Amino acid sequence: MSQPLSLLRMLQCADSAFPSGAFAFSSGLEQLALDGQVRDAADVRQALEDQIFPRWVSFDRVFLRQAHGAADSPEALLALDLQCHLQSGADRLAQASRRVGRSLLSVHGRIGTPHVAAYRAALARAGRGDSGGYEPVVQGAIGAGLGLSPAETETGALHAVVMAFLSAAVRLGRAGAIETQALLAALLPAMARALDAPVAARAGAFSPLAEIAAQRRAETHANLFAT
Amino acid sequence: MNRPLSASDLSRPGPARIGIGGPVGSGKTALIEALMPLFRKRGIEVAVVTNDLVTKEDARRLQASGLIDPERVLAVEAGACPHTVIREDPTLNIAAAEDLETRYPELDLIIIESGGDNLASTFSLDLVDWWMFVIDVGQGDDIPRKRGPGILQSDLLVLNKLDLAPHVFVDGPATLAEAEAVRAGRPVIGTVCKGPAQQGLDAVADRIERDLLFRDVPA
Repeated sequence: MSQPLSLLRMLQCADSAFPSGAFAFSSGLEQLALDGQVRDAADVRQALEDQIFPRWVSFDRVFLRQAHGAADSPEALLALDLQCHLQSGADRLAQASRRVGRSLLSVHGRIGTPHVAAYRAALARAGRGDSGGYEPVVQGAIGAGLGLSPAETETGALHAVVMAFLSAAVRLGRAGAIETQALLAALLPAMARALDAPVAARAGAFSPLAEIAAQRRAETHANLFAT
Repeated sequence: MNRPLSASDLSRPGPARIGIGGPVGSGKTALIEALMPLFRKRGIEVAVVTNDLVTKEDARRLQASGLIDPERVLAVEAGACPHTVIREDPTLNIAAAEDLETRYPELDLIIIESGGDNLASTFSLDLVDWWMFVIDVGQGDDIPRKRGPGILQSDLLVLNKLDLAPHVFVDGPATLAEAEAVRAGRPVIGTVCKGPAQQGLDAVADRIERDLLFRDVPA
């Protein structure tokens, strides 16, 4: 596929106007802000660099890459989804991943992205409607369906996870809209280096601050985010 | 690579989806509560998706009401801006509605209640088949004149709390007439959802039954 076309498809899916439901989740940032652990843009950057970014690289990226290679086989995608489920220790983050993944499946199902209808049907047949649909597996299948390379698919996914965190920081008042763009500009070289590095052989994540914050999210408090 | 949309992509079998939007406190949840017994009497199977801004208050209220099986009420907490979750990015609500459809194949209607919003609130037709906008006399008699998109574009405008009109120095019938004029013939129904003198609720249920379920209800 010509590079401009695949880039345009990647930009379409990574755009904040593309409906994915991701705006409803903060990956634990809301609780970290309530706890006083994240107070300003410097703290946002540290949380992103220490918790969110490594988690995506060592966990989500691995499943995304495998799903991209297995997109033709709904059964293989189901197996990856189950593996992702078994390795997701923090229930709230897992739930957020499933909700975003299923939202993506719903949207791409409606716009006719290849592989999506077959994968949705397989999830339904397996009775994993509520417990399946993890975001990185869905992203990998969709990227392959759109004809994106693994690298393009990963670039779009990493951009999405970083932007979701930064936009949550703006809505929580922990960083300004312009400040977060400066922060993103500073982070881009590290993001590019991570994308250039080989994909880990096995998925594994250790981001205790974000995971515990997401689990501690107070039910009694009025929350702006679902995690 | 993406194939173009065809009519078959857009036709969706399953229960009709209704949106209920309107400002905070206008009586959206109260309207749903008041309609539930009428739906039951008419044999209409219903589930509800609520969209509270930052809590699950509306969902809990409906679940505790005894008017509907609590399992048939799902809360979508989206936070921040209620427009977003019903218009710009309705995917979380679409997923919730799909979950309810899968769980309860017998459903006739899924009601999607927006979080309280302002007069610019509108529903995406990706999410709902038909939507109503609820305002109330307590907001003042000039609300219809303000002509927000919710007032102008909704399939049905509901002017609620008509019983309170005299207490807030509003002429209920005149406000209803003005709303009808502003909407140029699109339907407007005045309601009282609470208390012994409920009003307008059968008219709302009739319209839903006629327009959404295509049943033969006399106009």
